[in-house]
Amino acid sequence: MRRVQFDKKGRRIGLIAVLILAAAVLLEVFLFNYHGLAQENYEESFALDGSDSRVQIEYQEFTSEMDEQMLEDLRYQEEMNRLYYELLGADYESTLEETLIEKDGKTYKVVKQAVIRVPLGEARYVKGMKFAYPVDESRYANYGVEARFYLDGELLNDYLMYDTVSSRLDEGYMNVGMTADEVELTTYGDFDFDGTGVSVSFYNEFRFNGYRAAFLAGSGWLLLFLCSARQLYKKKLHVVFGVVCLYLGLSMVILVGCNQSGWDEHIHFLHAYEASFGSTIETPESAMGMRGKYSPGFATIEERAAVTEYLREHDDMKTADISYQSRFIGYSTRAYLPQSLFLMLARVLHLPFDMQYMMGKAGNLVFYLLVLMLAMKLARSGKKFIAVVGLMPTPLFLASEYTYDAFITALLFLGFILWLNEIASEGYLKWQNALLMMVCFAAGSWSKQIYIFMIFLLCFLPARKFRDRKSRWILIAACAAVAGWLLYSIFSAPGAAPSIGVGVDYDLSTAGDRRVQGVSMIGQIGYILQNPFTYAKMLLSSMASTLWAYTFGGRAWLDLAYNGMYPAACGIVTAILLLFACLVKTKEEDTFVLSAGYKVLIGVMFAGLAAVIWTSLYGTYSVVGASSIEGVQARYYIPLILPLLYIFVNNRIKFRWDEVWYYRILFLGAAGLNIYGIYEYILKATCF
Amino acid sequence: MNNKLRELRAGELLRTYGRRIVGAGIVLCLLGLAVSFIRPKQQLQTVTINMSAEGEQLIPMEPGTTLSYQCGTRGYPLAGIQVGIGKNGREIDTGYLHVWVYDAGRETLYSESLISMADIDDGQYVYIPFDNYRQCIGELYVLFAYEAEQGTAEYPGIYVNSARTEDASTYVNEELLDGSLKCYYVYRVDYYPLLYDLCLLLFILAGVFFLTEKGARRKRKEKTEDNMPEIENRYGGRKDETSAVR
Repeated sequence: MRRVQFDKKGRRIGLIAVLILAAAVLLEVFLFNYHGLAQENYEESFALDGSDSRVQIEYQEFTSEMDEQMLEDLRYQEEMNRLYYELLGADYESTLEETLIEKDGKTYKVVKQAVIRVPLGEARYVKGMKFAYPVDESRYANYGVEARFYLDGELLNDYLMYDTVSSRLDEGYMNVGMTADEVELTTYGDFDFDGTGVSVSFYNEFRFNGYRAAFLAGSGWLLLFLCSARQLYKKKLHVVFGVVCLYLGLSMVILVGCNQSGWDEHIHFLHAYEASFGSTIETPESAMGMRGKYSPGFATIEERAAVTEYLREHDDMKTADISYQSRFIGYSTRAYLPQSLFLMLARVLHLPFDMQYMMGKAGNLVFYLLVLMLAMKLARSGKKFIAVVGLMPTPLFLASEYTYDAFITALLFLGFILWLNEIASEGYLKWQNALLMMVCFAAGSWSKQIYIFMIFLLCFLPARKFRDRKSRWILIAACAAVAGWLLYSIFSAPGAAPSIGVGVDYDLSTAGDRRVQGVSMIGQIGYILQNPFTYAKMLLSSMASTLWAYTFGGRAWLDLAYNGMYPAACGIVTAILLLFACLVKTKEEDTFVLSAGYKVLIGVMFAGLAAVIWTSLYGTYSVVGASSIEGVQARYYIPLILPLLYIFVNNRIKFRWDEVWYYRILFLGAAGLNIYGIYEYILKATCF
Repeated sequence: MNNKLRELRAGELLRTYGRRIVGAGIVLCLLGLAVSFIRPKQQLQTVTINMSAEGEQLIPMEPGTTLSYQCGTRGYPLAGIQVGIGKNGREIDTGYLHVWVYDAGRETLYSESLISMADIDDGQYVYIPFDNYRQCIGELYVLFAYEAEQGTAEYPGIYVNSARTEDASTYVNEELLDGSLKCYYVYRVDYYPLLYDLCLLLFILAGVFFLTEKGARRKRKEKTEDNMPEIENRYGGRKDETSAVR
């Protein structure tokens, strides 16, 4: 009888799954490709070298004021270009300095532009525009094209349609989606535009977008899974989390692809890449571009194909740059090991470079997923908190790109859950549990040592957990020693060879983020000591003004780095989800309610660590004596949020309906946020 | 049920042998630290001292000419120096560059080496290792001279430039040069790759050592013996040690 029921339900789910697939295909064919089906398919090209009589070109020149940061960015890009040409064995002729002029103590950049008018003849639907240019001309590097579309003399796009052209590809594409009869193109560069070999094409076509169709179908199936699962919510919540996390994370990995849209992704990739080798590092041109942040990016599906081809063409290990390193993996690099392992695996499997790059990111995701699933499995209470926080868009995005943040978050969450299990249970603290907790806190702080303060939670385990006072005090001393050892490693690498050329291992007078001028750790410490009340006021006001946004509001959860940030209204959804999870309990749930003392302890730990984060950024990212603290990002709070949620747990508000619906609300909410974000900020921005 | 039993059994084993496992870990960490300190690893570290191209010139090292370089070693023993040798495009395959390293008072000779011209390419920055490098710390006096083979008139040069190097002076035939020797310093430095991890692990293991149960093995044995009749009844006379937790 049960078998029959299962078969019936299984058949129904199977049928819905097929319908979802059909709906995705139909949407792709009839909605997204409507103009390709219903209207004329064409591609019309115009030469921009002056030979095409239909095209009118007008030249203009103006100056643009540059600040220090803009100049630094330009010079950085120049250096990258020079390195690239050096690698190719060619000379690079820089034109940057020629285009800079000094006037009244200010620096201006001369911008030369060509305004090109292209008549399309009759009014026609333009799906996209292709801009082709010769790749061997170094001067086309960093070329910008702005497009304005007209119909009967009326401007159709009052918003900016702008595309930058990479000299490393021989074509650039822009999605248009308008019916127009004339186009005005404005090209920006450092030199006179002569248009040799340059052409522009406009087209309308039917094109089945596999990425879009697969994402639509996959998201539909995910929602179906969340709506149809029942027993999994009750008995194996970690499995539900695993499925959702894997699908959404892999979607991010694949759809972002080789676009470096994460925070400092090129630097994190560099560390992961180097750690994936032994003592000899082989860096082909593709990897060199990713490390140096000059690899071309993509904004359309056509550009994605061009970038993929470029990366595969330049992945020749025979011409790879060879460098050497110690076999020993430095402790600050270990957070990249899951990424390195998958990168190595991809190389062993001879996957093309673009897939190797994605495999590295998948390694990060798999580690994050497995550790959080383990934390959920081990958690005596509050599994739902790990699921909700772990599935928020920003933590998930961080787990799907090159970074150490996911490694930190996962291990600190696991360490905290083990600590909470001890608080919630009777019996003595087992040595293996204490060992695992300490290892989690220590390893989670390898790359961001300030989180090591969380290890002091062990000092506040109740006396009943210890057989005698001696064992308790020795554990406390060991926690202090571990924390001290990790904090010491910020200033000097224990056991490492001295950096003789630099003078001392860590120079506090110049320590700080090199991207910001006027930063000095020692200068800032001096300023704080001289003005303790001014600083305390600034610190407290900064923390208070961002408290909501960096915790329950959207800032910590809805930032997809360079892909974009969700609208502020979505912050309400994150707040509702988090508050719903921690304030409301199901009837069956036995989430542990912390005593008032422990709530105060966690509150103090949260505030203390937040203050340390703000202060460290004031020292390393803010100009000495600055009136505001720069550089603090909401994502730095993520490892602290799980403990914070336990403060709000209570027994007062109960969910009156079936607990399955309670979990469905949580998972559907988190999955819905991610599906929206991936579609809007990743798929639409890069694969349409 | 089997999983639960397995967990219980593993937990019981960890409890019983906890002190031995953690103790062994501590001993291994201490041994590792001792070995790490006794046998540190070494790496060569090249430090650019003065390599500016500004005012670059070759000091001709004709026989009888000496070029001396007085410098501080920046707090670490200097394992060697890299200087640029120029041949002006000529074939100089015979002769030797003779290098002496003294203390600042030129009383104690620390190192003496002969570099064959046949092994040096034109313009090469050749590494000149110092013997007894551990003594080469503080103020050093390095003397260069060329020893030609009899019957050859060609001689090489050493690169200098117009830059001033902090805590170093260059002399040609005992006359102070308005510039400095172009060079790199090469250090041989010790490092202890496992120090960080072993210390960290040692702290953790020391912290958990007293959480292990003293005499757990004995207690367990006693408990097993006490429960033996019951176990025998339940499991048909099985007598293995781990049966107590089944």
